[in-house]
Amino acid sequence: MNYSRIKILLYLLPLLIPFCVIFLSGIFLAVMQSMGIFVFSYTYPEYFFAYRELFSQGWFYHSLALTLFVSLSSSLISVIGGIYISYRIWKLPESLKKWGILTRIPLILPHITVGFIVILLFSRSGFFSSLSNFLGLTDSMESFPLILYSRLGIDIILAGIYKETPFAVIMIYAVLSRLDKRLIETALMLGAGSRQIFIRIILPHLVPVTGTVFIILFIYNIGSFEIPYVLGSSNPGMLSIRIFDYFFQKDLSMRPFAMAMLVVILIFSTLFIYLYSRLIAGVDIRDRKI
Amino acid sequence: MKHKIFITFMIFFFLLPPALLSIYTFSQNWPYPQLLPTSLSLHSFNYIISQKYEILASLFSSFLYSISSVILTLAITLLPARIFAWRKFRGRIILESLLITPALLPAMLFAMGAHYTFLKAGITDSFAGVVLILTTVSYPYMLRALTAGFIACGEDSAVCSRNLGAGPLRTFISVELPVIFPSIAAGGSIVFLVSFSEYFLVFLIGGGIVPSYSGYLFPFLNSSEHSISSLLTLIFLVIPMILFFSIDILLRLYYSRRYMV
Repeated sequence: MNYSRIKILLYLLPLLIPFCVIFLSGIFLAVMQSMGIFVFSYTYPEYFFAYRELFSQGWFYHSLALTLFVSLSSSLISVIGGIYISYRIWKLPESLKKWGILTRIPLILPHITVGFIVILLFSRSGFFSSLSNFLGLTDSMESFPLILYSRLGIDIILAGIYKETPFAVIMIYAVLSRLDKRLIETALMLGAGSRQIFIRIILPHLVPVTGTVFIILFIYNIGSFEIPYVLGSSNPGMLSIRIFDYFFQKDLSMRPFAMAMLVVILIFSTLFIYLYSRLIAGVDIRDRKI
Repeated sequence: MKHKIFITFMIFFFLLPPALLSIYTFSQNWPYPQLLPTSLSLHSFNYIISQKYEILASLFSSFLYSISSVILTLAITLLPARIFAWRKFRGRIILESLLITPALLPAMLFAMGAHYTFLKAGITDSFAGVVLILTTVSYPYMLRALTAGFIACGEDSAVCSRNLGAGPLRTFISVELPVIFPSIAAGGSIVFLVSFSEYFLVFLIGGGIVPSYSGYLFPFLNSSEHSISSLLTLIFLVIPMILFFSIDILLRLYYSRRYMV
């Protein structure tokens, strides 16, 4: 059966309507409002005033740098952890593989509760502080490193790692389980050690999926709001928190500033998707050559 | 031995948080250098029993908008998923990856703009608005699951059924649905989980008017009432698990009745 283009469009319509009316128009409105258009009944003297104002503020650059640093660190560590854990699960004997189900736990935990768990574990009066006191590593609350409310957002990174490593494990393990075991057997017969097998066979096999997972996590983290909001670190604060403040706490006429920050996030996300698609294209060509 | 160390590490890393929550639930007093609470109590349970109506109302509301999102995502992705799985047309891959983007980009990016649209349409602070925004972020998961399901089941049996004179509805109900039901369950579970655990979007569009369990829980997380927040968090963990287990059991019952007897 060959469907005409119109018929295909008709079938896709139930999806295209919410996609355009809510998603695309939402992004469009954010861009417009960042330039002072469609901001209720407010009018502004020029289009780029919000951007000009933001770009002249020190806190904006600090927030942006912190956001990028936190997103980069937590996605990178999650991806590395994901590779390691999937590799170890993959090497487990069949009878022990069921333990892999443990990695699913953080997936069911909502983001806000993961933030709460980090508070329980890492605050100066929390579990790890007590544990290090018990082990004799620290002798008081104050000698335990300040992880909550740190300027580098270490609490946010830790929460991100706990929540995102399982996602990396699921994606990477799926690809790993499709790896042809004969490759490993051949390498073993030719005298390769397990380290050599990992570096020469397994890692190259995982490059594309790892890149995809990293970019998905990174983009998600740039705009992640719930974890930083629970952890409540204030200064300089993640960009998403600043956006939330401008959106809800400040006057309605300040809306363009919130939207301008959203557009900055949008530009970074698009830029990374573009970079990534170039990267993947490169990998594909190399694969084809082999 | 190496495997045992790894499994111990996994237990520590993944199971420590829920274990800690369980201990906190029963703790009354847990001063700093102690590795375990110094005194236990059922204080958190008493509190929750005393607040049961409010908690149940918020749970019910969360459950209702999450289930509604599941049904709505299923309704809007069913036909497109069949097209993406069975038809080849120009621009299919680009269109498919474009339609996935609402789940990839941070929800904030479009939700704040969409808030304006919803405001103009008069559906902010309403149940319908919450369901619509949750559907928009979560339909890609359903689309992916259904497309994979339709690819796996193939078009042949549907064509066969049509040739034998069954109408499109009859074909869908008796031929396609039984085969793609596991995909619906898989996609639906993710959509439910995303909607149920969402805090920001429900707050943004629901405006605090639409009750939600995440909204009920949030103020506790920042408070010093660790035992109550821990118990409330465990409830958050248990409800999706109960749901997934019952879906699993239902699926098994359904298939054993249908094909094994």
